[in-house]
Amino acid sequence: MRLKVGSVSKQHKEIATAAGWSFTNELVTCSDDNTIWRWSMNHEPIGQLMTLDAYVTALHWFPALPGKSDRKEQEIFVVSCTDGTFKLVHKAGRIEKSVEAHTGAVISLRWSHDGTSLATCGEDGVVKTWNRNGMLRATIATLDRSVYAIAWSPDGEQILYAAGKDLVIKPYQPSTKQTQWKAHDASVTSVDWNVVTSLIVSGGEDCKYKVWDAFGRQLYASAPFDFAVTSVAWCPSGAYFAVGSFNMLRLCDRSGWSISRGAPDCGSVYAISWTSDGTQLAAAGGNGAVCFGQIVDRELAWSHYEVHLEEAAKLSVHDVLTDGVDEIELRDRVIEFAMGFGYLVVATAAQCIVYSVTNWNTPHIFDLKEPVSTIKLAPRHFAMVDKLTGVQVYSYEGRALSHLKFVGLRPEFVSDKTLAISNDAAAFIDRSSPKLVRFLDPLSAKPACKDFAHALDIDEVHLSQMGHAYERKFAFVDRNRDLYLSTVSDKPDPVKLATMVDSARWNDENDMLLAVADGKLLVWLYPHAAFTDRELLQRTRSEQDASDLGKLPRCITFSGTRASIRRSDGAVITVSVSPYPVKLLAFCAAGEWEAALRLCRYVKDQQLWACLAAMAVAGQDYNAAEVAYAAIEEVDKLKYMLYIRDLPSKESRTAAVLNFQRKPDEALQVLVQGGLIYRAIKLNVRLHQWQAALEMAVKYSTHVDTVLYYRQEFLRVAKRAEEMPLFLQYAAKVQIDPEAIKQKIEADKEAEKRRPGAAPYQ
Amino acid sequence: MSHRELRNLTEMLRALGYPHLVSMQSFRTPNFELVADILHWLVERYDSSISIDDSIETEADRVHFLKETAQAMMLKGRIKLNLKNLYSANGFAVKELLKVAAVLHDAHRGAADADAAGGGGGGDDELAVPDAVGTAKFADLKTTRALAADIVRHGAKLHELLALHPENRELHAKALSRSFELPDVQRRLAAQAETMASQVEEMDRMLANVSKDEAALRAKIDKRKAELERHEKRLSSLATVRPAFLDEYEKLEGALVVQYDAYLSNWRNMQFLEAELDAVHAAELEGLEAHERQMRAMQRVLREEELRLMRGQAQIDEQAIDEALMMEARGNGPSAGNSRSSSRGGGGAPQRPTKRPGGAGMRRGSADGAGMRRGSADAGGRGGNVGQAGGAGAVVGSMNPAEDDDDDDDDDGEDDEDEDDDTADGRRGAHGMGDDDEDGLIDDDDEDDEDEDEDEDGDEDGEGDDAGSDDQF
Repeated sequence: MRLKVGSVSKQHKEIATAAGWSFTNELVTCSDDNTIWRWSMNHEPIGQLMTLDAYVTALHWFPALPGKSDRKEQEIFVVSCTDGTFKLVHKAGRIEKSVEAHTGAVISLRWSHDGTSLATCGEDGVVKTWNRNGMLRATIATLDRSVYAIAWSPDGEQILYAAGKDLVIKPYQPSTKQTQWKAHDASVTSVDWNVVTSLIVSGGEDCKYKVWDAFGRQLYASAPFDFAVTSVAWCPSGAYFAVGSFNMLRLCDRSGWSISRGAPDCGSVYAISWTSDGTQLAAAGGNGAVCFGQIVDRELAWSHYEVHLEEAAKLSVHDVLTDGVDEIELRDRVIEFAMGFGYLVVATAAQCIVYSVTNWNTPHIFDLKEPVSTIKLAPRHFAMVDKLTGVQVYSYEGRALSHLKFVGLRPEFVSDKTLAISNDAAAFIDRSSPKLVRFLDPLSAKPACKDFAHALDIDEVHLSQMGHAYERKFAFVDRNRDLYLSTVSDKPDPVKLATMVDSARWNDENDMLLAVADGKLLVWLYPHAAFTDRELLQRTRSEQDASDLGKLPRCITFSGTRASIRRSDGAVITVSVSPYPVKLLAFCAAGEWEAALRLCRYVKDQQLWACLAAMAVAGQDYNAAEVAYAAIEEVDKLKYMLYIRDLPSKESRTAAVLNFQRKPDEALQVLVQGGLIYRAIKLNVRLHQWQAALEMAVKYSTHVDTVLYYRQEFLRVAKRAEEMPLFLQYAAKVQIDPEAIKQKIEADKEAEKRRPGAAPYQ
Repeated sequence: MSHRELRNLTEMLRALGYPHLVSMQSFRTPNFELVADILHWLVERYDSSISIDDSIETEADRVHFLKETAQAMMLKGRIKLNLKNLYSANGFAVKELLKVAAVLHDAHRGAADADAAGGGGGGDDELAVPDAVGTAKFADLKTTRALAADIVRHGAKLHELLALHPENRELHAKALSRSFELPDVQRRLAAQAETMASQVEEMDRMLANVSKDEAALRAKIDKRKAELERHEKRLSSLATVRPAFLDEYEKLEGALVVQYDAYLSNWRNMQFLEAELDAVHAAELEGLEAHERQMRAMQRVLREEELRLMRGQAQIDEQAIDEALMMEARGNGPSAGNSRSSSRGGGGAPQRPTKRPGGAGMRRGSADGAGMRRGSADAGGRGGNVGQAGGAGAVVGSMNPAEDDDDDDDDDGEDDEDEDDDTADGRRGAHGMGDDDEDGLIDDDDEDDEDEDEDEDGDEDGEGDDAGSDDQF
């Protein structure tokens, strides 16, 4: 990927100080020659919009809001002037309102992301907020020095401003505490706060730019450049940001490393503005130049294909195996593209084009209304997110399947971390209450199951891609960076897998889960073990040293046996995991237990044996489970497997396995449904659910005396007196004869053995 | 102080290349050092010939410095500086500094614009290098490496060639020192060019011909190929077709094989029989000769007996006979009757026995005797006619009978043979009984042949068969 810095147009005679793309992709630039110019998408000047009698310092368009059909407000931008006013200007060049805001110059101003408030800062060191019509709302801060930069938090409840060398996050609510930290060695000149990722980037006169998270923790600090950094700007999707300095324009990844550098002859870059689709930017230069940057050379790889965005509307697909190259020319510029599961999905400004890897000639095409911000792929369909329409699910044939929405969904905040999609479920982190994960069915857009609530805010959610709907799992990382695993069901039981997790990802092609945590690369070879035999989970985990991944690595792809991980300095490192578990899973899924056993014997790996044990329990093959448990020396479980194997009927075996998986309620259900009342009662007894046991016995009018007998025995051993009224009641009624009870039990067991089809497991 | 002025000043200083970074916060508090430094630098940039004492340690020094600067700027650039503002070294000083900086900046921009207008894409070139470096893809690595290797190779070559330079220096000098007649050189060059042009033309023509030839050859090859193909096709079609007469041919061939076998056996039989026949003939001849020898011996005995008888009676007669014979040899036969009678007794015989003793001589003699017998008859027949023929006639006469003798002998032989054949056939009948099985079998196989043969020779069945089969071949 690279920023192609195109033509430098010098329409302005003096220093150009502000630039902003409108909602309709028209650029407006301001300069000290008192003119405001309009530019087209093609980098051509359209004409002079107006002249002002003041010098403009900053410009900001009213933000695009989702679901607002009336766009009247969105045709307005606001400019700040050195005479201490800010002016609301209609796009036709009419000044709607001019407001006296500060003494001295107004240096910067920003609309909040929902468009309800406007924040300004000035030479007088005051930060103020205003409502949409330019009425003063509040004075946020008063400093003894000029405030050069200001930014809103994504939720609009905090304001970030530069105070000399410090950055201050000031909550809008006066009661809460502000966060302040020293950001740079010299004055901070510019800040930006991304909506989607909640990351902050700042530039200072110490010639560095730095990336911070929303709590002021430094994620990246650049090496010093030759000149002071004069502007920074996030791309709307939050994937990268641009940094401007004297005769320099840099494109950087969100983790901070510099992707590419342009050196336009434009003087200091005083303003950078991204188009809403994030493919282009405009920079206003200190010598009056306006230069345009375009993101080109984006690349991604899947399987043996490499997709390369060569020009704005030209993709080339390179098949590495055959060394064949397919050129794809599109009508308009590509905004986003994603590849996976055998498909390439390309979103251009007006269309979405879906290619299958088997056929590059006849794609499925459908129209789009808005530029797409995120594309998420699942094996059978994919989701596209845009700010206005929200989250749409399409099939790979280009059919719109559903429109995912719930109350409180803010599509502009949906990113690849907060949205996950699989064949039968889509998971959202609810922006309004980040402790919630909501599950929707991507086909019907109805809730797939109950929302999952966690104790802490959830940062990332990931859905497993393979397997059946009933074993769909999701992994999430909470604010403490702990990784949890749970099933997508009405009764989730989250398991904590790891702490200090930097990045987590499911495999695209199988059920493995990868996480980089605490300097280690962890791969859960069979995460489903958490729901079959939880103790085995740690034993099915492979652990590699990942100290070479450095700080804050990010997993980009995990497919098959390979994962690529991007270090915070931008280097991509490919790591591989053992291919055996994949094979083993394939065997087990096909029921080829013999082959699975042979594989394990060949590999002689404890992890693999543990995987096999978990798989065998899940697949209810007790012979394989027996061998596997023996191999990993779990004697107790081995014994239990042998016990299960000898049980005469299928229902009792199923119930025993459910017990093994700590689901006694389900086990009871199975036994009762199978008509094995004695076993159900016995299970209750063994669980010390005396009340339930007796009730069941009474309900089916059998073994009442057995329950009473066992109760008696228990009380005798525990040296306690009977307290439960029900038992007292029945103890008076029923005669207990241990011999008769034993006979009855034997008879019941015999009866089970004589049931049609009843036989021990072979 | 104003935000905008500060900003513009920092921007202009950056654009002009002021060696230090100027912060926006620089003039919040009075900062005379920076003001002085910037001012000094600006003035120097404005006109480097202006020399100003830049010591600002004391107040007087500062005032002196400012005054001098303001004076110089006033003189050189008609820029009026407010000393009071400069001295305060705060935001107001920025305004004063801007006056100078703006002039320089405008000039700088004008020059840059002129450059851009004149030089076209000068700025683009500057961009190009970092761009290229920035976007160097791993895919280009190979070509880059190859180019790097090229550079090294060319460098090495260049180095080698440069190393040769000292050796060639004299030649260079000589070549350079030589004076050239310009027109001459031009003429030579023109001539060279002309020859080259003609060569090129020639080459072109040849090239054209080559292509023509190539085309012709190719056409020929194609034709041949087509022919070959056609023939092959024909061959294959013929190979598959079975001619109408082949059945008959094969039948006949089979018959021929059978016939040949029969012929072979017959031939063998015939050979065997012939051999047998020869043996029989030889035995018979032997018998005859023995008989003849016996006869002759008996005749001789008889003749000797007779002679002895006669000798006893008239020995003179013998002398007379000898005389008569001598006379006869001289050519005049006065007494034919006498000679005849005497010659009949045994012409030349008196010498012969002495000359040829043994069996061979006997045989010859008997043959002669037989010839004599006839020859004498002829001579007797012709005696009257050739009486006067003289010696020559005698010679002829003596010769002819010899020839006749041979013929007669042959005839006799043939006759004998015929007779022998008959006897042999007769005998063969007896002998053929042994071969009956074989012949019978063969005869059964080929009845046609037998039919044919029966016409040819009734009695000679064995030989007739063979002759029949011979005919067929």
